[in-house]
Amino acid sequence: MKELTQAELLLLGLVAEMPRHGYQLDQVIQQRGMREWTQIGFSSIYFVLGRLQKLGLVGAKRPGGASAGAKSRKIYSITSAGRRELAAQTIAALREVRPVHSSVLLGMINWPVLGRGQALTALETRRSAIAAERARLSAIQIEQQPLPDYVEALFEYSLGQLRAEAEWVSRTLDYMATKPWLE
Amino acid sequence: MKDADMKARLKELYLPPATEFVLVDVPEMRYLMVDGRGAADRTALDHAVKWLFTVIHPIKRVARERMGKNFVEPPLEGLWWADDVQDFICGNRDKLKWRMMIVYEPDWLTEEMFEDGVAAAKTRLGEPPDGLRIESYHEGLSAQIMHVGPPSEEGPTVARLHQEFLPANGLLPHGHHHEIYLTDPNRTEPEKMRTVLRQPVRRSG
Repeated sequence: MKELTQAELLLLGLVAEMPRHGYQLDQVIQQRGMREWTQIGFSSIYFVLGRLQKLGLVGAKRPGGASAGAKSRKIYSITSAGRRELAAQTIAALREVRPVHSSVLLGMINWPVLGRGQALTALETRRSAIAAERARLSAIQIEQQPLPDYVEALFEYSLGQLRAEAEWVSRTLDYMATKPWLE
Repeated sequence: MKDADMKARLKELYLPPATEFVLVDVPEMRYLMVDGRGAADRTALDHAVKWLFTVIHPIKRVARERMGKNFVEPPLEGLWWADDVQDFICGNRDKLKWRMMIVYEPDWLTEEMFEDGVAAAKTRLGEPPDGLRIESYHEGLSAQIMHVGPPSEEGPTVARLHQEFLPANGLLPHGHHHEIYLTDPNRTEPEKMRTVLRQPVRRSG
């Protein structure tokens, strides 16, 4: 099977936890702040679920066996094929290293087009933005307590990346600010 | 408790078999705890749990860094009792008393770290629940089992403990009914939830 999209994988994971109504899926996505890092709106939940159903990864039942009714009342659950596919794609997601290229790379390569003041100010602004992002993520992490250990690890990953970047910005700023500048 | 003991101890204490009751000797440990009463309305209980996890969050971060692979995420635990044991047996939820707790070990976790955790939590959650504290608790000899399924369906297992296992082994209950919640109800289907059921005991006669 071809690789699932992020939204497909996310919804597949949520119905794998337990069978859920469409509106419950929306609530969980909301509560866990998942909209922040995936492109998934309320209306697209049903679109994505529909696709997963067509692929045979998810099944849908109406409680009480009624044949008609709002789609939000359907209960979605994972099929055994869905469980296999979810495991395979989760393994791939954990194994593969796919570098995401930050805009800072492009910024650094064209560093010489800026004057010293402009360049240093821009990097300083980046440093504040990173600090703000670390604070924001830490706040979300604590607001969502209690979290299972694997989700704690997920937050630690993101915070660790930001910490590494903060260190890099500070080191670079120190160097660039003190070296003899060739205009 | 020392760092290196944590993992081995927790494994023995928190992973009993699901098939039979086993006896363990639970050492004295410190716990972060909050007491309350009534569970028909979960507001106070949820508030207590939120507080415990918010206070312990920065402390866990320190512990995780310092302990490395010896670190284990401590689960939520709850003691349940009633002044009239009939209320407990019949599950009259508004008459139940509870104590929600999280293990506060190893031994280098200080009162001061706890105070700092409380101060930080106040900025988010307002005033702490009455009686939020660290206290030692020593259960000693205890019978326990892993209950698989929703906690609301643990009745038959608890009945089997009191009516069969304890009498057959010459044991009497000696302390509060104890539940250790190993799974997150928001992320686990009810049939797959795992809860350690523990009952401190003493030898009869």
